[in-house]
Amino acid sequence: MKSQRISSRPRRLDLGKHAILFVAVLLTYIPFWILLVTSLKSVEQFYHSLVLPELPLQWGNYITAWGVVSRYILNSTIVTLTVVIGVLVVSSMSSFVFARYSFPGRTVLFYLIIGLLMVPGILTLVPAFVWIRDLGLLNTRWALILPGIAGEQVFAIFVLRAFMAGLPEEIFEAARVDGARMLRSYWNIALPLSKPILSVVVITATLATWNDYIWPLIVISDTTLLTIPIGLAYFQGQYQTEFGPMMAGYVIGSIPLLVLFFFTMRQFVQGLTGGAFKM
Amino acid sequence: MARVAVPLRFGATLRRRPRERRLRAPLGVYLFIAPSILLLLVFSYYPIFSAFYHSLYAWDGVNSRFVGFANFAAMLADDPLHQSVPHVLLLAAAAVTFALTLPLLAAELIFNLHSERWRFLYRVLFTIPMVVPWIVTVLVWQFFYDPIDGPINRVFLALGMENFARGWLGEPRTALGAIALMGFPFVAGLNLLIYLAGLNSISTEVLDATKLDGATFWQRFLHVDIPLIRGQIRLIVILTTITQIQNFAPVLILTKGGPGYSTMVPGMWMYQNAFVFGKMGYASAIGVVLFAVMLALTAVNTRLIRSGEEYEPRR
Repeated sequence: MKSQRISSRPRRLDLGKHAILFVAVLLTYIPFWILLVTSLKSVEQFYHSLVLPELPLQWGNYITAWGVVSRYILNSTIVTLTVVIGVLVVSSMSSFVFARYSFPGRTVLFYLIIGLLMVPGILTLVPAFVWIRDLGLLNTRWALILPGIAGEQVFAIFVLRAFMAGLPEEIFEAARVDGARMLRSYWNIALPLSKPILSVVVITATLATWNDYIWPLIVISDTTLLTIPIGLAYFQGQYQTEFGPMMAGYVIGSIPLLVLFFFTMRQFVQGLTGGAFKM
Repeated sequence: MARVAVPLRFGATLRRRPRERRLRAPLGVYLFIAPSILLLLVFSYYPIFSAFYHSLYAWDGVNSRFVGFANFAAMLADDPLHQSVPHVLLLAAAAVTFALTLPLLAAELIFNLHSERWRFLYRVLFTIPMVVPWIVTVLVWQFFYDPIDGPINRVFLALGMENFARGWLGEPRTALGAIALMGFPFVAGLNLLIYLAGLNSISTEVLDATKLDGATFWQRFLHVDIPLIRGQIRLIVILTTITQIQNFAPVLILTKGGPGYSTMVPGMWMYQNAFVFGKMGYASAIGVVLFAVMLALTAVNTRLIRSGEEYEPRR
């Protein structure tokens, strides 16, 4: 990424910096280490030692936990996938139009959308709950999906429109000469060229939807529809002192996003350190 | 909470296209934006309208009766709400302090490493905790604070310091502090990435000039890097403040505002009024006030920490 740095000295080991950063890494990961170690212990092993793993490893904890947590993972996956796809479709369409066309009402409509970035979720929490109830959507996945798309698309449009506005007009011009209409320009040109920023949209919408706690808590009471965050909190209530299965459940609940992260690591780290926060 | 308020300066975000680029708009444009607008009207704008409207009503979610500003007046005499204000200020102050120190220092250290490979590795190591579900972090910290089996108390016991062991979340004196310290050392996460993005965008000429002038690490850090990333710093201050003011999920999970009202925050109190006491009108009014406070704080922030550049933070 950064090759432009000029170093006068041939080689520096940066030992002091590494020492501090290493301590920071250590402190950051201690909780996760203890989580992992505890997830493989029986109750007796847990009281015997805290930091070190104990043999035999209790893989049974994972079987116990999977029985409970698998359903929450399924629910979260369904909701998150639907929201992310919905956000991609809806926000890329409107971003494309706002970025490339001029039409009556453009400014007003754009501010109508972007202004929502200034409206915090806490203002609408209570009325939105009543509204969803009145629409008859309580205890359905729609209660998570539809407001999810509506809410997450705002930031998506904000970054996507800026990106699409920066694409060179010549490409679109050439396509028009070749007879491409709006739909073709959108599908064959704007979308493929926007891939880097679309991945940022996917990441932020996934994290936000997967982690949301309070909204699903109030609109879903049917335990078969619970998503991971509420499911795990609920699970914790059931397994009060059986830390092994409880921690195993937390580990299992963390795996889907970790897997996604390892497949998209480059885009993830670079997308977030690069474009989105340059100012 | 999924949505977070973000400050904007409108003029900067939408520029008129140059004349020659402007196209005759096909009617299709309205079809393209219809889904966005429709979703927003139904699921965002209607609840906003409803929030302001019902803040003037006694409302249980079904029946409503106009009461004028009585809900707002009632806040003046609401003791738990008053107790909750210093708590949220303390949590916000702590979070801003942490956000401005530890991740910034870590970012600076990473940025100054000579090995590209290590720079990437540390970035990845400090990004992974971001993708661990937030709830897992909270629940693991809850386990750490457990009065009997929690690692923190077990360490104290093992060191023979029994009198330090306590029910961290269960005692009024320590509960709020325990919530504030959850997540220590606060290095991993979005803030670090934002700082790194800022540092990465400092031009090489500037960095080379400071090197030629023989500036030490700290001199450069304080006099070159920090002024040049004040846009990012301001963004983090605003985001952290706004998040803290409205975020009551940790409190809801860990203490529900207790013991007593020792960890009550306004968002939690709003939640209780709405979903425990059924006072939805009063809860809406609290929401409106919190919204106003956030707007005001954002405005103040924007004034206080001026960015030299034209663009406003994006998120």
